[in-house]
Amino acid sequence: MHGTIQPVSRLVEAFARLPGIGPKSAQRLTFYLLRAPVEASRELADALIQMRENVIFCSLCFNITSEDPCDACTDARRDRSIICVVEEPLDVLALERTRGYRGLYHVLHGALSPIEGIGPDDLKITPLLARLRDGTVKEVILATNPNVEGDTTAQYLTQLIRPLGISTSRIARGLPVGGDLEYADEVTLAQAMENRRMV
Amino acid sequence: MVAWVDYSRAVEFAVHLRSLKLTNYRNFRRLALSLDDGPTVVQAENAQGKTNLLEAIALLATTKSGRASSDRELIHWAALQNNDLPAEPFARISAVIGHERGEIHADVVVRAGDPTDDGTLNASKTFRLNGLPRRAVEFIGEINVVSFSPEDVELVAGAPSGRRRYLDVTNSQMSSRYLRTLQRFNRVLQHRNHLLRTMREQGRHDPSLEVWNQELATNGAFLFQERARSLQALNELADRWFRELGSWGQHLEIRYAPAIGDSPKAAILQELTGQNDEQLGRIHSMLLEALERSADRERAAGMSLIGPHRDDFSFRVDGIDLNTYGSRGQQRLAALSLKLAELDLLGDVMRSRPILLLDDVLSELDARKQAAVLRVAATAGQAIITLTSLDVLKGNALPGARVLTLETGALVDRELRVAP
Ligand SMILES: [Zn+2]
Repeated sequence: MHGTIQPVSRLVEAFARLPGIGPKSAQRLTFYLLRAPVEASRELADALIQMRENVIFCSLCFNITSEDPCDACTDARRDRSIICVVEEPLDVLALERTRGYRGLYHVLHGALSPIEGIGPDDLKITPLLARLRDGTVKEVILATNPNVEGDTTAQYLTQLIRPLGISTSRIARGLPVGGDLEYADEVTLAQAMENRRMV
Repeated sequence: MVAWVDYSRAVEFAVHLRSLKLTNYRNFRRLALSLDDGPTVVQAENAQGKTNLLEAIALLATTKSGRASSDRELIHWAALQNNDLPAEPFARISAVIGHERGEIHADVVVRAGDPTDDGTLNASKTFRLNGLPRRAVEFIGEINVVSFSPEDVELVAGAPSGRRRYLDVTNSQMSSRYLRTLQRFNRVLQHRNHLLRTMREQGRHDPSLEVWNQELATNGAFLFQERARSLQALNELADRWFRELGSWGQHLEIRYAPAIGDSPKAAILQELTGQNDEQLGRIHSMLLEALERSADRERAAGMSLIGPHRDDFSFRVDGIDLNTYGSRGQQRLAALSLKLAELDLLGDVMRSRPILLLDDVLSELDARKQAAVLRVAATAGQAIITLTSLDVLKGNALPGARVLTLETGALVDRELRVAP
């Protein structure tokens, strides 16, 4: 960043620290904002602060929420005998759009990935097992992504949950292989939930 | 007769490359080429791009360069610097493929991406069929190629990694399930190696190792079985070529050495000779048990020590391993026999004759082998033959073949035909 002034290089460096953004993309984003009207920057900064200050994680399901526990966890009309386990909060949104599922959720916040240094202790697995111990839950749907990391995580959870006498099912294939749940269209996702297989 | 290969089954149609366009690819700034059915001869001095041309065609078939250590090497950087440097440097291969069901436009674009966080330079390849984006596993198999170059002697004389890459490319051309499983296996292997390294560094067991073992065994067992199956078929076909082309009437044996840990060799090969799911299950158990037995060793090493990534196979004549004890002539003939066997096998499995790519191999063969290879080329659905000198074609039958000349990254169509 030779020759650039400090506020510019500071933002470039801040962008470059984000996952999936290299130095070149960081520069492109910075210079875009520099040329765009000042409102664009103000809007972005405000959205960031709002997000960080007003969103918390539900202490039961670990989904994002503005109140703890979240709406889903307190909704009396939901079926409390089923928990659907997903990797990310966005997956909950995707499944909610299908309108087919009326059980509870549990967000792991990732999947097993030794390459990225993510092991069982980095995921919300212990609180999941705690939720399963009170005897209410009869089935756990493992809706982690259909890729190596998601499949392996599902397999790992199955081996922990099976001894508790609770049945586990895996969301059906037919989702784009290797793809993410959040990108699947509603019909495909609803079918994948419908056709889940006991594991 | 190999159970897998049904010689009576006629080849139903031949897939052809109708045209090829290269942009910023290796030494070619721009190259457009229309191709006929049958053989085409490309004549050029050394370092004019003959090998690059064939590499581009092989990449269309296999999605991989057999030579480049990084895909960035495929981009013609000098050409880009003379013009305005585009936002993202790229190389492109475009082809029109003539299929039974009509024409298909296939495109591969190689882009040099941003340096990653740890500073490594990488490149990405994107694939399109008729303009629609495709993943590598969906793109592979539109055309099939068998390529033969002087470096192929390294399959016999070189290191195991080259033989594994050969097997993977050949099997991937025949089965997209193989490629899918291989990609999955490699990802699992990376994860497992990281995990073993972390366990070594932190001096503690990770409870998730067991599921990574299962994933490795599931994908690994399939790769073992498919490799055993294709090697068995290749062995029988290659032996026939070896006997036909060799002067000694000796048999060639291609022997698979799967790296399923310390399980008894006889038991492993027994399971691998069959091809059913029950046997797949037993290979899976064998691999899983071997992984459990070698847990301490792997943890101490901080990496996976058993599995298909450690496989090898050998070429043997009268029980002697040609890798160590073969003459250069025997090694060359074994490599040639393997390639001709691959041509037979792919033609049978895909029910379409592969495109034969011969990269300057004729000059180093004796007259009898030259004649045999040219006979195969003349009857191939399509063959592209590069040569430094047209002299080797004298007296050999390749009648009517079109001759192109390649000079400093440009093609000159001399409208020559090999005299009948
Ligand atoms: Zn909740």
